[in-house]
Amino acid sequence: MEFLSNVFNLPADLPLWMPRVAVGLMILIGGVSVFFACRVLRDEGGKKDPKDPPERL
Amino acid sequence: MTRKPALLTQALAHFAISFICFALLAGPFTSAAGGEEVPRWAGFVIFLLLSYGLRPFLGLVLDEYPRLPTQTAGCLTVAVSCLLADPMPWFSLFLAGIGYALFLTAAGGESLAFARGHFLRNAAVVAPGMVGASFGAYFGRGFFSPWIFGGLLLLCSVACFFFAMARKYPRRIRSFRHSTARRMPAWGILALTAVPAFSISLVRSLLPVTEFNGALSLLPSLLYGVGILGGGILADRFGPRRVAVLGFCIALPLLTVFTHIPWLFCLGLVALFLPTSVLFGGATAALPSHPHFVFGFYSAVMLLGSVPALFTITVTGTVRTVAAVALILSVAVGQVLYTDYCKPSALIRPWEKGEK
Repeated sequence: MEFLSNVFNLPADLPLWMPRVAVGLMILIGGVSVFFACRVLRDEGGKKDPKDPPERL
Repeated sequence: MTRKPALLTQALAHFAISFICFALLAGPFTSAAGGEEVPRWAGFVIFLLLSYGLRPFLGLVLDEYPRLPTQTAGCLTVAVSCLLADPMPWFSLFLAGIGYALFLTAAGGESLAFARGHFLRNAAVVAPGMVGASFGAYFGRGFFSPWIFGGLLLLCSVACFFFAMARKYPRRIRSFRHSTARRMPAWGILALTAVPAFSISLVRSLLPVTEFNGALSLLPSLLYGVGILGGGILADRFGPRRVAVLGFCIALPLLTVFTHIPWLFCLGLVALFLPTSVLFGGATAALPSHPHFVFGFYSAVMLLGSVPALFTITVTGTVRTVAAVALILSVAVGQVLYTDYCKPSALIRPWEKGEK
């Protein structure tokens, strides 16, 4: 954990573009995951579990 | 017949693979960086991006092809990365990240797919990894033997392969389902579980756990593991809503007001992680045919939550307290809303007695 806490500190000589690219990639991964989650939700929407009771109107 | 040994194997393999991946990062990779901060930082971030960021996409593939021996492939990939740690540290790091993502997506998704309504099953697979990562990072610098670790992973891969072959996948998986009311749409449940997962990761990054020094630095991750495992046991016994809401309500004062009393702070860390398995269960109820994707999606959400920790966005004093209070409160409200709609499909649990 000391290693982790040390690595969490941004090195003083770190070029600024590196953390920016890293954050950008993380946000991109999050965004694409949400996009796929929406697609999966749409696919699941059409499926019905036979054990579910009929919906009331 | 093979359910409990398979679960134990997955839990041990998760501990081993987490230990070895982080030992590789802290040991051979850090040595190869020659004490320079920038390559070490870049290596760690690349490993995080690969091991967490690939999971949602691997999850989509595994939901289509659940019988692929992915856990075995993950263990073998990390075993190869151990052997290449000295001659090719960067390539070894890439392999370790990919192998870790392969194993975790398969093991996590499978723990949800075969949960049969038990929250403990997912908790028992997830918790050992949390502990293994910190132990690997702590002990990795002093001791890293590629052949011993590679051999250990080979054993894990054989065991995982054996249990994967013995398992019968149903045509349609439904381990958790909505309550019969079904008034809340699936996207609502997904959002109400994703926000708390993000908040847990974010609150963890705001907490002053780096103040634990030496061997005590292992304590926070041990407590996280205890929280996840305890949450699974308690949710099966007393119901998901009680555990999730109480977990956040206990964590709220302990992590904001009583941070100066160590044992209360430690108790707060356990309480913060109590609802983890409940979140996974709720999300699987919303997307019953995609357990691997659910696991991968929440890994990506938690990666986003860890950004402040990674980039040392230091928040102290009142701001930290207010932020933690707001986050935990919002999460507790979310739990009250969604856990009413999540229940196991296959089993009648003690907390369901008398419910019609």
